[in-house]
Amino acid sequence: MKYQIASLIVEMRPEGKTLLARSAPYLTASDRKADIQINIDRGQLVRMRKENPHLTDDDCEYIHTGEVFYKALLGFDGMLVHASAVALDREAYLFSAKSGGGKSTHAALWQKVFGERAHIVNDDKPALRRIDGKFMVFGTPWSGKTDLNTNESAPLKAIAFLEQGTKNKITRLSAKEALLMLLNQTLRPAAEWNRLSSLLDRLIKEIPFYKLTCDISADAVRCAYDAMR
Amino acid sequence: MKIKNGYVLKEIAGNNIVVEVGGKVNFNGMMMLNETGAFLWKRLEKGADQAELAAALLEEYDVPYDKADEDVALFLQKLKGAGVLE
Amino acid sequence: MNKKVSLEELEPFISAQLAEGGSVTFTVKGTSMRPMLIGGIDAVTIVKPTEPLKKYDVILYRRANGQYVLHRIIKVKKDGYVCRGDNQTVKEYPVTRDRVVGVLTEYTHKGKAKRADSLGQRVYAFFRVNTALLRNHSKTLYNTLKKKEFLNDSRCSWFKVDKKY
Repeated sequence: MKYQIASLIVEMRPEGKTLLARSAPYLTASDRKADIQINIDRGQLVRMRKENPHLTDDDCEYIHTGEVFYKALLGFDGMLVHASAVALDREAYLFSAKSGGGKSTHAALWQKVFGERAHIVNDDKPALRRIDGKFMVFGTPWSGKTDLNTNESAPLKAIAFLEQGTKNKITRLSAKEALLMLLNQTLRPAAEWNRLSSLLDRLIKEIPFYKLTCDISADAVRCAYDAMR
Repeated sequence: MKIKNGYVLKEIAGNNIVVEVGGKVNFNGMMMLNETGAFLWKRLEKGADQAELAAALLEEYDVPYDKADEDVALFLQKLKGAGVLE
Repeated sequence: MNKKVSLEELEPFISAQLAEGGSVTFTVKGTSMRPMLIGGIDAVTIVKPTEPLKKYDVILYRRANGQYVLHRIIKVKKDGYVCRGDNQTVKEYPVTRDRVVGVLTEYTHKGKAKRADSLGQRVYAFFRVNTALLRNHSKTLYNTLKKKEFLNDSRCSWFKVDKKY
């Protein structure tokens, strides 16, 4: 079956409920040749299940195909960023954090504060791709935790790394800090380091990076927005 | 003096980054070199020994010769400590 | 890998040759004696000194770490010589007499053979040594490479990246 994800034609045959449901919005009738072929190695899934008994077959298929996709994405000037992506006025803002650091909460707050103007593009693993000199953020079937994930894209405006705190404060990150943060929030297969490093080089030079300490109030959103817009 | 196989230096947004790509599937650490560190690293990649490194430093930078010797020795020690040299 | 033989490796031969009154000729390396000598291109001839060394002589000497250096004497002092490359601002002192291996008598430049004690050389040397302080601030006629400022110790710092991915 053919899907259009991050402006690429992806060929894959989902069997599990989760993957079928989440990839449905990406189905395409296009007759373009597939850019990425995701062959689901059932043998590998069995092994994955054995190593992670708390996961269902369904989960394994979902996670595995996601990994295959994001690795292949590196061959198309793209990468995964572990972040919540919010589109406001058709521009995407990414919020990254340590696990449980509050990025989903913060993204949801944006939606609350800006209402119709804002919505969540992907709650967990948006795809970033550099197309025609611009970084674009895409939703993918592999949003991860919840269903908050739409098949759409927006140009990337800025990226912020969140930390929970009592005061709302936002500062710019240095290139070095941004790099370290990104490396911790993406897939980095050694075999693709050449491609990934060039992409990171461009990303850090072209997009502003911030560090945001915030609480869970509407004020946090305004503090972030004022700096990042 | 040789750098272990699989370590590569890349410049990313003005920073000199070394990661190990020869080994694990995903690397779990990165090293940052400052300007002279990267200068020395590039020569180490070509197989320079300690004396050649000091000489190169002296030619390129305005540094007294015993400082160059000391700097190279210390730098190599740090690299050894990071497990990057053979 | 192409390996050039270094002066350090030829040491016993060099000493023996000079002790017998002979000379040693080799191609210089590096940029420290520009514009007179261009590394990789120009060659120099060294002999054992027969008279006391003096200011403006170009000498070959050994450093404590074994390195061979070809620089010019810019001052003669009781404890040794003050030396500096024609293209440098940093002086080296003391270069003691026991470290001196030989003195430059002839060299090649732009394919031509030249003598170290020629009038032209002496005039050049005089200006080169005495205008050293001005060199950093003014343009010179030759394309001398300006050396970069040495700001910090050479550093490497290790950062851990999460194993998660």
